[in-house]
Amino acid sequence: MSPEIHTLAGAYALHALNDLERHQFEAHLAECPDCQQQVAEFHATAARLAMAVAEQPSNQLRRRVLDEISQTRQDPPPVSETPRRSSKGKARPARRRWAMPLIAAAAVLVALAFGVILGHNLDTRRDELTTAQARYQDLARLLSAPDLRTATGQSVNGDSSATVAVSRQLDQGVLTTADLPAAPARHTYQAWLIGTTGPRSAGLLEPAGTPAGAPLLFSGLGSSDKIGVTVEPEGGSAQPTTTPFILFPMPT
Amino acid sequence: MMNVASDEHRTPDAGHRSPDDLLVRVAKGDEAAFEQLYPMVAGPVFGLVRRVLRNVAQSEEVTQEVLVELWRTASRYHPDRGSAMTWVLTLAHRRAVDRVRSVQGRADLEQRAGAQSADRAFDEVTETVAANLEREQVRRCLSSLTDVQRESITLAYYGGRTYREVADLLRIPLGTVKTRLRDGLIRLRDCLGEPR
Repeated sequence: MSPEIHTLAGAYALHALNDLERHQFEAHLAECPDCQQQVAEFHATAARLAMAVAEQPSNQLRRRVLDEISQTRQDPPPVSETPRRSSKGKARPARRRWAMPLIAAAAVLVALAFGVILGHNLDTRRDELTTAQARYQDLARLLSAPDLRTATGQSVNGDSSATVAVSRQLDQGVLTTADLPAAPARHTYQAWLIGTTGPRSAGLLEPAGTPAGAPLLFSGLGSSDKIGVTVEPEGGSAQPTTTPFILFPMPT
Repeated sequence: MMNVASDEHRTPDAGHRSPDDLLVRVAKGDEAAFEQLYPMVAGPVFGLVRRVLRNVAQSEEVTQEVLVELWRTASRYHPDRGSAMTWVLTLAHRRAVDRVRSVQGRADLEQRAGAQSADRAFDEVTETVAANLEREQVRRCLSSLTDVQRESITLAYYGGRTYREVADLLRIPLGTVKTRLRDGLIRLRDCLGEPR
């Protein structure tokens, strides 16, 4: 491992790396106990900088936080990674509930987008980086859209689920899936926007070589009022050839 | 739900529980423990987020998100890997930076780019915060750094800048910023020592 990467520990602890560099450093961190120790110490030092600028927020904020936590289910401990079974296929309007999983999904997308250039010198490969950043920016813009609405639905057998977040203003959306098994050999998952004019492909999920759950960005919502996922022959189809195993209403 | 008087942060609970102990209880779904933890963490979280974002309404929004995330993900906290304060403040800084680097945040940031020097960033801090030992110690330790170390750290941490932006703002090479951030943090760490 190049000694140069060790010098990134400070910038990493202060969240001063861009996403590409952060992923690179985290890959290094996983196999460098000394760096982990140093980052932990730097986080503690940075926390002192924060405590020095403490300011009491309004009492209304306290009320809002306590109200929200009383209605927010806690994540299970990380050791038991059991799939979450939430209430059956109901569309959930609450935005903040889904903001975090979507941001986590965004991080996956960024990792994937950047994955192709990991391991190369940071100061080269500018154009690949620009492409990846553009993709990330699209997602970031979407997730911060003021009219972002989300909905989630489960597969017919209840084993997997999909969450969609759409902005009508931007005419864009992103679909993420959870607990989706690998597609059958020589087949792929395809997402469809379904409306009065029939189904229109939103794109292929889980392209070869990427982990299931990679978010799918799509645009052109049109008149679609449902979103569905089907199994299609490798490469996808122009029109669905199987019945959607996930199908649920788009958020309104 | 328990109703604790709001301005209790100076009165320790009868059991005098540390934030670490409280967060462990929060992880078990203890809302009363969260209410006791709230006054300990809300001020530092809000103060930090407001340093980075400037805008009070946005800062309250992000503070709320951070504190709800603290509640939601408390089971991931391990006292043996660091203090609860460090844990929540690392999360808060990450979220503030995420926000400032979002598209809108970026636009806002550009508007105030350039004009603001690192030293002024910290001076404003000291104007708005009541004098306390922590602040004095941090100020003393920051002033023991070289100018470039101090400016790099304050721009990155309080300003939410990437090290590339810091390099542009200070007109110094990227490699220099990397090492100054790290060396500055090492000095700060040694100067600040153990928390109070």
